[in-house]
Amino acid sequence: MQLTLSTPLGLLALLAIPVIVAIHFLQRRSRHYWVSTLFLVPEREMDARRGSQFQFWRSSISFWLQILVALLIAWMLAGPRWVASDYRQRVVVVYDASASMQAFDEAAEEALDETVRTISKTFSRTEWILIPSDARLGPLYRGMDGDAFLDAGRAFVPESGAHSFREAFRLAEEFDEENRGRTIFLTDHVPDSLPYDVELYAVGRPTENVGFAGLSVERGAEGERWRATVRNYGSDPVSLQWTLRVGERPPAEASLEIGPRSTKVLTSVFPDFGEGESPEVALALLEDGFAPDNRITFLRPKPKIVRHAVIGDPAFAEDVRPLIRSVSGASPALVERGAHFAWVEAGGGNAVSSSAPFRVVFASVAETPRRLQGFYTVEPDPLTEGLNWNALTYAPPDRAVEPMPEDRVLIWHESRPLLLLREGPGERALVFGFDPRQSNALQLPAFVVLLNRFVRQGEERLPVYERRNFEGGQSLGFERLRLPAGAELTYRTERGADPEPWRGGVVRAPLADGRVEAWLDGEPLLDGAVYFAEVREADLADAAAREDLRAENERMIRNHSREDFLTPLWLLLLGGALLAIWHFHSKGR
Amino acid sequence: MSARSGSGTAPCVALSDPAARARLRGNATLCAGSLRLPFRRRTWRGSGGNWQGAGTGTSIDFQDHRQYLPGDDPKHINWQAYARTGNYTMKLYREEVSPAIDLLIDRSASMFVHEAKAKRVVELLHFVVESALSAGAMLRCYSLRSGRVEPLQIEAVRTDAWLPDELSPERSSGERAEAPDLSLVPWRSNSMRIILSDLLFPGAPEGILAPMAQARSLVLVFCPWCEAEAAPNWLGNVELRDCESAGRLKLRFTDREIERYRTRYRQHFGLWRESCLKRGYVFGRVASEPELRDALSKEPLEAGLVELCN
Repeated sequence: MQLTLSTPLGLLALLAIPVIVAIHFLQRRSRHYWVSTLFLVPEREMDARRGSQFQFWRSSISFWLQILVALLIAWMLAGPRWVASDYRQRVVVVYDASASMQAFDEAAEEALDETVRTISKTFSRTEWILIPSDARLGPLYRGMDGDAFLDAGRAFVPESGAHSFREAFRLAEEFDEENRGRTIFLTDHVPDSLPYDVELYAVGRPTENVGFAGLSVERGAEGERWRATVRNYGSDPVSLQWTLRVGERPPAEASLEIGPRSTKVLTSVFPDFGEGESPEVALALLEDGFAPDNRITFLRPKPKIVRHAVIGDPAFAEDVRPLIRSVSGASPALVERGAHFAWVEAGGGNAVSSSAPFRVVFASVAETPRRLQGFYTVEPDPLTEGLNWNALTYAPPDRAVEPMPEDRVLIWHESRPLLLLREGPGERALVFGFDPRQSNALQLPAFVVLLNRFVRQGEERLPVYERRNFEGGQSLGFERLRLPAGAELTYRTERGADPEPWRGGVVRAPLADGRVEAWLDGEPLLDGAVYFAEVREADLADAAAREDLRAENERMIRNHSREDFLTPLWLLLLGGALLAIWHFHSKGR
Repeated sequence: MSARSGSGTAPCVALSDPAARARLRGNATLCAGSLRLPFRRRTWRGSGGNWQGAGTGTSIDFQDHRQYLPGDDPKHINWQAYARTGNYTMKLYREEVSPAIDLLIDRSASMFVHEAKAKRVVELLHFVVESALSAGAMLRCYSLRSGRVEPLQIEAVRTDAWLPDELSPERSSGERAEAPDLSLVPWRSNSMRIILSDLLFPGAPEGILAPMAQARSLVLVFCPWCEAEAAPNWLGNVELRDCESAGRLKLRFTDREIERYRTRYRQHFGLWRESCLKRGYVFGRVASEPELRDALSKEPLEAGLVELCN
């Protein structure tokens, strides 16, 4: 059985002991007597205890009884309780994985230390479980070792953006299936609501922060211009120095003043980088309490070079060239070889002949378009989401397109399939059942948007080299690439780290300033820069501290222990001691 | 802060009330009706009285024979002896005398520091005086205070004028009562010498008692005592002030130390008892708490300090 105290403050009653000792240093006020036998008093044999108000402490039964009473009262006020020796409490700590916690890592470490220290005093056997609030990251520790639990907490770096804690709390609830444990949420702010059985341990404090809040690159008349936003999240104006480093060139410094809760934009045009020079621009601010947004590194973007080709008669090519330029920004070639996208004029029906991985096939009809009766039915798909086709007029071909088994009909006109999505190994095609030239589709926003989406999706899937900038935590898009069979994709997300093979799944960019690279069969596939973009995590003005552990400690003690079974004995002793003290004092008087 | 005498009230209050003193006198007189001084303990010499004298006298108690001499009273001729012997012989009868009693009363402050003992002292004095006067004794009284012996008039005794003017210990002389010099008392020969004292002075009894020794005298020592001095409740911190001197002691008593005091107290009176026994004096301690008759019926009666009246 383990002993625990439900109200340790009751031990303050022990302060009565020095008071009792002090009182026993004092002489009791003397009683005065006239006597006739003073010459018979054995004065010499008695200790010299005369005169002064103070005497050296002298043992007496009354003194020890008073000490006993003080001890008994302190003991009973402390609320001793007994816990079964095999009882094991389970404590789940949900560690807020938001990036803002990086500003309070020391406080979080101290909070974990105190949690372990406080809870370990309650029960000797505790199972510790540490899980991040971002459930995608998986549990950090589970075991009986408090020190290992603390090490896991110290090693964890919260880097997630804004996310829901619900999944983490649900996981914590699963760990505590017997409802015998407790769940503690370690965070840097006071949430609006928490599950009723989750205890809050907030370690934040309102903190001033200045950092980069965003990046954009635009192509203009003078070239590609970058714009980096700097935001002051604090309530005081700041004046700070910032540094610009372009490629391998020496860095330049400048000063910047930003008002409270305001932004400033740093902008410039990408210079012309030399041969072999990394087209990289890095901006840095003075380091403050929140590091992720103090630096931003970005690259001069180089989009994928996507080739388009038109397959059909010259008139067709001439007609669709503007459309292609409009949706892809590229001028299509008339030669299909090496093209990624093929815009095909079908001779009617399903006949297509192209080896390009992405194809848009239009039926060829010579008739004048007319409005046909009937409703357009649009199947839910990211390509058609939110698009209205009711205004479409077209000339129907003699033979409607016939969907193959693997085709998905995205648009129906009554019973006529009007648009198919055909996907197969290494190919993806949109097959239109009308000729856009014999329709008003070219003026229909839905048509243009649809094609634009198809082209963008196709571009994402193309394993073609690009150079681009990523927001922190953004998916690198490997899962969307249509890789050739047997191709090996390797990547790294830290400067200087060894590349690792991609084994499927989503790979995300790190949270803050960094570089990412990928290779396909050894050839460069991706060159990327990452910048911090979680502006909500950078705003630390609402960070706060609060902890509710103590009350829960007492509840746990009450629920999982029982009262001291010797309490009746202590009460009996207390009563007996009080009676004895009264007896000795009465006798003394 | 006034000190306690152990009884809760100052003795001067108890004895200053005439009604209280009258009650005490009444008690003593009543007691003298059943108990008396030990007159039958011995024969006495002195002027004519009611007690058998040592010589021949006119009592009816036959004592001895002698030859008839001319001039003798023929009433006392022993005619039976003449019938047998033909000689005239005279019967001699024991004389009847009044015993001489010398009473010394200790008027030191210790006799009056405890109320019970103060009352007992007054009662004892009245008892002795009444008993002596009832027996027709020739009583002389003396008082002893601060080492001085002064005669006391019987009338002063009977009216309590003998009580010390300063009964309150706070107003005592401040002089500790030395061992009394009993040689200062003009003891009469062949007298009953009575000492009424609590014997609470230091010193060996031998030296004090010696002056009282006289072959034909009977020495009686009435020693009043009370529980407050024999078994005091001094547990804890106390300040003891001597009622006869400026002596003060601040002490802390435990049960052990109180027991030690009681042992010394018993030893003190044990020495007195032993000394009296050695000299043939009659010694008796008279408790102050019980009624006078009950108190005299115990140790004093057993010791022969008092005797039952006929």
